[in-house]
Amino acid sequence: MLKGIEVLFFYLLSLLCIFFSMLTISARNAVHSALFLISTLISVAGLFLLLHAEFVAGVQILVYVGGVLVLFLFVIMLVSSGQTTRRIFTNQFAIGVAVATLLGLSFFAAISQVQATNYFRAREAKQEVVTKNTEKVGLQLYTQAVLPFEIASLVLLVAIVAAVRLARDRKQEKIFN
Amino acid sequence: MVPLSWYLILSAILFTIGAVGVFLKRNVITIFMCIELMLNAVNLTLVAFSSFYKQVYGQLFVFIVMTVAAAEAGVGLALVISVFRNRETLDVDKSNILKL
Repeated sequence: MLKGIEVLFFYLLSLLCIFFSMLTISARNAVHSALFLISTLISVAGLFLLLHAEFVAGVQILVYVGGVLVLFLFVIMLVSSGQTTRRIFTNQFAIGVAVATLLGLSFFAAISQVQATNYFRAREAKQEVVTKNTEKVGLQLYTQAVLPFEIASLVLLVAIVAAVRLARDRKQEKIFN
Repeated sequence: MVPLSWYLILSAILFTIGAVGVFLKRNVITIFMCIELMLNAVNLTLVAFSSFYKQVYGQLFVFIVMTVAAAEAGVGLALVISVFRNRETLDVDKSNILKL
């Protein structure tokens, strides 16, 4: 019973993911593109929940949908030039499609190769129903992975300083220099 | 339990769609969004492996990837604003020289 529902939700969420991500790259308007990307990210968060990674799903909604995509929408509205471009794809259409097709085929080849060796299935363990995902993640994050955690905060600090420096306009540069 | 390979195939499809967007789109903001899509596909792979091997290290990687994605979005969008102020365009085919 549970397995059937899980498979059903996997199909539903993955179809939503693929559908919305294709709409993301085919939308003509950048705002529509951002809204479709939000839908894709929410579907991926649902898949994280299906994988018993509740904390990552929450962080995905909060950071991506609540932070990064709102930043994208603000920038789109700041720089919108008014005119709508008729052509949304670049001039390198054929070579882009060729390279992307090769990329996708190589992924499928790698996955089927690994699947044929039966490497994953032997190590899949039985999933417990109630997980203490957040507790485990927090414990590992603050004990074993504390150095990458601090480096991540340093990366964010550098990004804040760089973004503030880069986005100043001429008038503000005159004031501060 | 859904097999691991299904998640891997889904994330390969998402990554390839993001790569198509990066290769083909003209609007630089949409290219950034496609990069976010590719990073999210990688996150899905990491969480799937972490869930199937009963280890949380994959999810720790996901947090680092999310931090880098947020930093990249911030710096990249600041660059977009800075380029737009000088060029008045978002088309990547039209901003192909370094000088103003």
